[in-house]
Amino acid sequence: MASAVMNMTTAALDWVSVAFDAPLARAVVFGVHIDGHLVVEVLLVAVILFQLTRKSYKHPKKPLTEKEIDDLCEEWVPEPLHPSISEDMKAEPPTLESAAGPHTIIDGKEVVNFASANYLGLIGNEKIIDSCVSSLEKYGVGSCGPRGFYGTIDVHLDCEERIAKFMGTPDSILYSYGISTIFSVIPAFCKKGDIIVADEGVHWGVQNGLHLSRSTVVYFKHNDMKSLENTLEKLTRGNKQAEKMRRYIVVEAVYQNSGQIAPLDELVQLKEKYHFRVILDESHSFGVLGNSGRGLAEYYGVPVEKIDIITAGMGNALATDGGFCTGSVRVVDHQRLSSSGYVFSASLPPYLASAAISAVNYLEDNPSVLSSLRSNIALLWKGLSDVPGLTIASHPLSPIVFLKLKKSTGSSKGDLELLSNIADRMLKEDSVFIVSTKRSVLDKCRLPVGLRLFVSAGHSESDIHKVSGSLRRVAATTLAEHL
Amino acid sequence: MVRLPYLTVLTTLFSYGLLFAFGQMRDFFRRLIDWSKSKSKDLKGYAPICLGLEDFYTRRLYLRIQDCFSRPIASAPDAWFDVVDRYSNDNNKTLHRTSNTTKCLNLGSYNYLGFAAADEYCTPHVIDSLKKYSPSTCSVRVDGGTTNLHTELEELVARFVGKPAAILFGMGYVTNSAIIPALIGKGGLIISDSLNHNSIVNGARGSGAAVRVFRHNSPSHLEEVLREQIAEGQPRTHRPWKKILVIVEGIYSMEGDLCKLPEIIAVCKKYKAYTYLDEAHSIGAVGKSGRGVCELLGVDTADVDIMMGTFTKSFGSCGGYIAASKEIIQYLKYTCPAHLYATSISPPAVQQVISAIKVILGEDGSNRGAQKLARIRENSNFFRSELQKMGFEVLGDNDSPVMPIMLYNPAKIPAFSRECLRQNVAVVTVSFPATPLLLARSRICISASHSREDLVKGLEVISKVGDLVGIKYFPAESPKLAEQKKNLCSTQLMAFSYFEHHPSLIDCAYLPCMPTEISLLPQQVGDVTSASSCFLHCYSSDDDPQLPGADAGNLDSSDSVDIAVLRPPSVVDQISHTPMVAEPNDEKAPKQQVSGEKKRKINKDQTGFVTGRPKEGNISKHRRPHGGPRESNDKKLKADDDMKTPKPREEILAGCIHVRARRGEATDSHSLAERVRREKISERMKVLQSLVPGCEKVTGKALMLDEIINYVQSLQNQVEFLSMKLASLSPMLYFDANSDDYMNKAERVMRSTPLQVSYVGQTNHLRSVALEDGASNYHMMGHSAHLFLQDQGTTSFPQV
Repeated sequence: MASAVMNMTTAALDWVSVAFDAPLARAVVFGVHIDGHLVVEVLLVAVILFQLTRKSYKHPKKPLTEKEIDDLCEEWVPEPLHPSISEDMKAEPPTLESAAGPHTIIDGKEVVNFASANYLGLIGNEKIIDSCVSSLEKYGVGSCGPRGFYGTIDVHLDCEERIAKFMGTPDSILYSYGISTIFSVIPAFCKKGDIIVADEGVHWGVQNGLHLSRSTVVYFKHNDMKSLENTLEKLTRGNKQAEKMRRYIVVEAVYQNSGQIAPLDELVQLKEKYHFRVILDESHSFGVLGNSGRGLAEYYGVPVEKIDIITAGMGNALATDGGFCTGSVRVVDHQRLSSSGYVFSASLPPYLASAAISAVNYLEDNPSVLSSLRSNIALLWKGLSDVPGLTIASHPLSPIVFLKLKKSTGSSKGDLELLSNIADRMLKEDSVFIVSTKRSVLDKCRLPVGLRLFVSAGHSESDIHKVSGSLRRVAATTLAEHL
Repeated sequence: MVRLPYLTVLTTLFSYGLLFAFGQMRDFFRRLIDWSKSKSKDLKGYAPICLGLEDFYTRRLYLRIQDCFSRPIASAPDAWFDVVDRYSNDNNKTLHRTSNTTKCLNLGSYNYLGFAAADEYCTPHVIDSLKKYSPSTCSVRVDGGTTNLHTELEELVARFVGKPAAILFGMGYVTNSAIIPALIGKGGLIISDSLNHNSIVNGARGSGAAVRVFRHNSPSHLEEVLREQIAEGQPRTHRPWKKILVIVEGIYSMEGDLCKLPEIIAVCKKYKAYTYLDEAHSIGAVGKSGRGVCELLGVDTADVDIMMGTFTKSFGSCGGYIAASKEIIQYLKYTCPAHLYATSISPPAVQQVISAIKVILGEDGSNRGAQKLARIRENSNFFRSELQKMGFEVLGDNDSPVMPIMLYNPAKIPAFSRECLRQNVAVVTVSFPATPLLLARSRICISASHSREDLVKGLEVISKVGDLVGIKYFPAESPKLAEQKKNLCSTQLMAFSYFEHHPSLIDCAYLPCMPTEISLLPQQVGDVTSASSCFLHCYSSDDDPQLPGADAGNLDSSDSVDIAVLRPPSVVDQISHTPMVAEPNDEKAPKQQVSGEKKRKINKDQTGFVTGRPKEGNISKHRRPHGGPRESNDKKLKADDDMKTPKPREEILAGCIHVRARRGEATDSHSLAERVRREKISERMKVLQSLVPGCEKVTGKALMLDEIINYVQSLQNQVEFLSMKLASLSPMLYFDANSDDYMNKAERVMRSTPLQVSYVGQTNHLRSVALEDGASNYHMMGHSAHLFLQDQGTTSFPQV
């Protein structure tokens, strides 16, 4: 086979040489005999040169003509700004006609209010209102400027000092809105390339902060310290790079999505073992947990210095508005120039700052409110222990009593409908105001939905009996109808 | 925008370089000291809170001048407030409060309408609602955080801004940063002005949508970006964008300039992009009845999809709102995280806004609201023009209560701030993180609660300190000129009364504005070019047919002659307030440009070109409604709007599309603006052609122009002849102007507003300066004009 090919090749070559030799065999140019192969070579060079002069082929990259762009613009049809409005989007919340205290007025009827996080019963407190009035008369309502530009009023500084003193931290910083506190604090400390380990059950404010920080975010199972340890181990083991990055653990003290309490003692051990800093959101535990209401650290007996950054909204136990972040001087001063919610926003209205000061004073003077709050929570637990179809999912000390369905309908939307139904009927039939958890489509939290009851120190025993009785009755009928 | 002189750039960069070098040196020694000490034991294993140079700026630059920022106050932020004295024992590293306070004039707070302090109407209501509702609801809006007050304010805000529905939030910052993610997400595109507020930036970043930026306040660049993005689609996948949201602000807080809303809306409508208008600083502060930039610039609120604003500034409260269609609000109430998860806005703060809006609307039974609105406008325009006259470089547009004074050099920041404070004037200075590094500035915010004496005191101090610190980057106006301006006011009034009495003349297409005519008495005027360049501006607004009526009202509204004297172009300031007159803003643009080009040509021939120009302007305006392909397009676009609103509105919108390209872009055949411009030129040429006898016969633009020049020259000769005759009859014509002054002035205008001159769409500021200048020339013409007119009666001008 091979020889046959060889033979054919030689034959072809011979033929070519003969063919070229024939006419030009005797041609002599400048004393050089022109052989056939020379002709071929010259031809080859000529072809190469010809090819070289040609432009190499490129994919024709025609920019769009004006006309085409016009057409494209003409053709483009944007989606509407909002999806079509379905019936469930039209639900209107009840409108309160009086202060949101333990009893409030809705539609002209007095109802028992378990929807306001007025844990210490400070709504309607005379002392606080008096301090607000004098502040309003002196400073007006708004501060009309960000903190940097004459929006710092002396009560802000007093309030910062008061909170730091109460918490036993070196310094603190006020924010003008509860939810903006955490989502400004996280990006102020965590930047691109840093590592954040966060609980998967954190609320939207924290999620937004994590997103805005552009750090690498790793979630661990909700309130599961084993899962946290695994995550930390995985992140740090053999990772030399990790030592140079800033590392943070972000948790909530009392999870507003589930009523669970973070086990701070274990968390601090883990944090020290793996050299992580902790950012703790105490919105629902500040003024509630601990013997004197100083929050989660006091409850677990952990020195407050071990927690690097503590944030809290003041719209719950303190019954005012705004938020604060407290920690070391370094932590606080850093925020004064690099926390966007602090720098770029008008400061807290001064009357709310004075309300916060008086609220903290009140708490310090009357620690008994905490025990009445706790006894109310315990009482409610007892009352709700045998509600048909529902089970308590929150921590026994959490001021948010969180009830979830024993048997889910299969979708969280279905669950939510059922639970809102229960809440609506309780309000209508028994004048008891409780709420179901609402979820925004932007919220990434996937914990089960439920009913939330915000217990207050201001609730009386009869209020608690009323809500548990009503819930038992309505849940039984509603769930029976549903099945 | 600012154009930096080289020297300033060099000195500023040098200063920063020096600060940086010293900072580095100090860091070096700090490290040496730290190293010699034992390493801190706690932090072992932790990365520092700030890595590398992250806090270098804070440590080495900011701390040195820390006392200029975050000054605590001990009273309401009213016109005067008590600034708490502070001292430092460690070179400004830490500051300590004392119990002493100093009473200072407040030029820093956003207290535009003066609602910050206790108010006779608002405060009692607020205290009542505080007692009724307590400071907080402790709950979110969808649970137990909605009180009667909340629903009342939502309805009131919707009514006030002119949208079907509204939703409230407890903080302005959160309004932006939580709403944008709810409106747009992955696959969407946000096109944002390059100088938008941080809250918008954060909101856009949080949304997950792609973000593109267009040049600050430049509709033509916005259009470019829109075209490119729609044509290209999403990066890599090239799928079309799901939706495009264009975000702009009404008044830019660090620039003080008004958004070019009509043009931007027109562009957005053309490309089907949604618009989001942040009125944080403009709502309540501008517009005839305080309804913000839409009212001021004559934009129908139906054309803006999302209107956002805050209650912090004009209303003296806290929180923010979104106003939009019913469906959008319903959707936001269903899904916006700040509505679902954030404590609802404090009821007394809500009550404050309700009361403030009622005062503004006059529903409190007094006219205090109207007075406040008039005051803030008057105060800001007075303050701005005075600052400009002193030679400060002041940014921003007329009517905007925010006026940044450029400082540039870093050393001037603390110097200006401390010196002012020492003389009991509290000003805000802004530098790097909030502005570009080179463009440090001081920002003045004017309030309706400032009295005239307050402002004069503030001006005196600022002027003194300005001299000391050396921030008067322009030559101050000479006292002589100021004197002339004073005189001018009286003539001006007379001149306008002429308009009032003979309004019919204004409509006459062939009537050139009268002082222009006089300016053709040539050589005496001095430098024709500089003088006439002012006239261009001057008359382009004056030939607006609406003027007689508007102006009559304006004259009444100016409090007294005193004020008119202090504020030279008093009438001019107000022109921009009647929404109808927003129209010349747009109309003027092409006109000036055309004439500007022509000017250059014709000036060579030493001919007066001015006669031709106003004619051309007038005529083209009269003709415009009849035709032009662009018009018909616009009409189609706005057909539905026309049903609702009659003529003036149509004209405004017709004007909107006349977007002017920036310098250098004009020749770019890709830009729509260029096409529009060309169309307009040819349109004008046609008008000219029909005007000048014998012009139809020639072809070619050059020949045609020659013909026109000849014609104009002949007209001019006639005029000259006539006026010579006139002068012999009444020898009182005189010109006492110092031509050098005008030269300087005109040059200054050109220099101070380089972009504005080239970009004529930016109107207010330009017009004010220009008119001021025009007005000063006006003065010298004034007497003669009057004599001329008196003698001639109403038929003085050569009719063609």
